Amino acid sequence: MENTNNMELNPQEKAEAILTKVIDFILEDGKVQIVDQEGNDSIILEIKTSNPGMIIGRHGHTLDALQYIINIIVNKGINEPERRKIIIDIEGYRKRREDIVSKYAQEKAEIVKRSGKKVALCFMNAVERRIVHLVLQEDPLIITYSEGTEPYRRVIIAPREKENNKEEL
Amino acid sequence: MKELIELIIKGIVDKPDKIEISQVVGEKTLIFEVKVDPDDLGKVIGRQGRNIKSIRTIINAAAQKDNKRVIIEIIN
Repeated sequence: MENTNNMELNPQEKAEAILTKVIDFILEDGKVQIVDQEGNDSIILEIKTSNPGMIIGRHGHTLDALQYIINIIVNKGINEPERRKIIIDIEGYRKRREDIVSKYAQEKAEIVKRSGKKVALCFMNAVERRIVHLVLQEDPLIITYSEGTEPYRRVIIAPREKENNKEEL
Repeated sequence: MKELIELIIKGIVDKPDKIEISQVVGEKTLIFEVKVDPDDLGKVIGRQGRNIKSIRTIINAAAQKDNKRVIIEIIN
């Protein structure tokens, strides 16, 4: 027997319905739109509002909490291969963060290359740390790795050590 | 506020009819005492408290517009 909680809704409809209900408690004018995704298994929902700060929260904490809880609710009772990842965005916030984090990572990488010393970035969540690793992975002069325990985990950018460097020292 | 807590917790537990939420009103702070089926306790709290922490974050976003702070206690 199917779970009656689902009421025949597919995961996308379920995510849209629950998110709409939750944001109605936080926003006066919140609307949820489904973002068309090509060749993507994730469900992307975008919140439209005149007051995005209420949902984003400090450092995006509220948006992340919302996305985390909606993922649990929609995927409850569904086994691994069938689970759908739900990404919640609001007024282009995630794209904007991606641009900011990429730029910040590249600036810090330049400092590492100039000084030859490693640099610790600010604390970030897993999604943003991943952006840093991806942006800098092609650079032959530096390496990146993460250090610390969430929520105090951060990326370290260090000069890539050359084999002969060690011998000279 | 109580409706929002109920909506979220109902969505994550297996036995939604066992949820009991009672409210203690303070001046600036609303305290909600939540009781769930013992088997659902882990789902509400989550690994390293991640679920309850996320619930608290969302509820406090909703409380912000009324200039209130919300405390959620699990009292199993």
